[in-house]
Amino acid sequence: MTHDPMTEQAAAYALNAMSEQERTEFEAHLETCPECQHVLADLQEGAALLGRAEAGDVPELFRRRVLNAIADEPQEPATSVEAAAAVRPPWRTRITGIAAVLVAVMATVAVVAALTGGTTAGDVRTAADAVVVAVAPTPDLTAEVDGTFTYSETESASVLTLAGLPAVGDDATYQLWFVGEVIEASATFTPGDGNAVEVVIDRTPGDAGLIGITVEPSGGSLQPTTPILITAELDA
Amino acid sequence: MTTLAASGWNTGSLALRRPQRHRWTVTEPAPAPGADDLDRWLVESASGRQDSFARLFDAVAPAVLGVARRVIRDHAMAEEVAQEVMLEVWRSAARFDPARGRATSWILTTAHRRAVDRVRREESARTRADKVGRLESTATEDVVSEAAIEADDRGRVRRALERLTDLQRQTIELAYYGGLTQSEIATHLDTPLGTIKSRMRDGLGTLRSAYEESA
Repeated sequence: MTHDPMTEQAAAYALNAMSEQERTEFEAHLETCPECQHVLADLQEGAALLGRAEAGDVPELFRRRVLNAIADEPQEPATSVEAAAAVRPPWRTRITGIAAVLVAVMATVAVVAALTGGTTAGDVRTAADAVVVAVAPTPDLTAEVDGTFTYSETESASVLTLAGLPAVGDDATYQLWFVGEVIEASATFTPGDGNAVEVVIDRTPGDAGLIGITVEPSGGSLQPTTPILITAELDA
Repeated sequence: MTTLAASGWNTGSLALRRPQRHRWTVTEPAPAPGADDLDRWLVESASGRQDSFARLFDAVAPAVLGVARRVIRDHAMAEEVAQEVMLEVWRSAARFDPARGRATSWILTTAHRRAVDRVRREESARTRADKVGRLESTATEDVVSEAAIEADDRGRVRRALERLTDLQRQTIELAYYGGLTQSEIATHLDTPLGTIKSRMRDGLGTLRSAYEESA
């Protein structure tokens, strides 16, 4: 098929006015044609207006049903995680039983971005309600790592300080996890000069009973894929 | 119960329990979320952020449900389809690519497609075409509980629709509200397929530019 007739098809596609066969053909073409993608994006904006003109009431029961349903509804993995898994980095061979258990048990994973949000490490450490816990390596890590994890409810922030952290490859990163009723992903970080690192996180552990640190593919993961190497218990 | 201590975690007796359900909090939607907000909420939903999905839901569900009602007409069936669509959005949020269009377009295209698939299974092209002529929009003016901002947007879209030629509007209505394929429209109107395609393309283009000019 030549190109022009395909861009001509885009409006019918945007309006879902194609037969199954036409739809399949057009979608196959679309994957390889940036121009059609561009034309289609514009036409779909037009078609979306038709939908917006129909906006009406949403019954409260409907709303609750959907929002309750998603709590138990698994999601397709993010493409970046799929890509990371596809290249099978060396550390994946070190996945042990515990990682498998973690993955199986976790049904809910929240991702928390690490942002300093103006709060400095000093603010957290000097806060009147600052809590400091020692951080130590697990038997899975042979290096002599030590450090502290400090958090303050009034600052709504935490600081992780580590020394003696082994370097990781360019395609890997350390990642912090909050482990409680759910396991929540948090900051990724790599050690700087002198193998030390200081990370400010814009949240406190909340209900989490411990923190854990793993090595993950660059960019971090939604759930731990390797054993916890460094940990600290938060509520004794 | 699985304790972690035996497996290499230096964690004492912490046991992993069932994740708590309903951790999301329902927040009031921002007064007038923009297209960028919706894009961001959809991207955040892909990482399991139920709070972001709730915001996205509040912004798009009125139109998702509206499209389903308009195309399917049976309200119970429309709710069923709209629920499937919202769950599909949650499941496949990671597939949304902001470089290839807006979250609103992506979601409403999906909603419309599922609604159209449903009526095509239930009704003949002729029945669908007849109903387009007979029934007006279900999103009638007596809906008073909506935010004023939504009503404004709806009015703006409807004014933009008035800028289409009668033939463009007729063609687009048969496609969008009736769920007719381009070939079915050509047969129904006894008009060459190429003409139908041009009307759809020109009509959508006019609709969009008229809407944007009215900003």
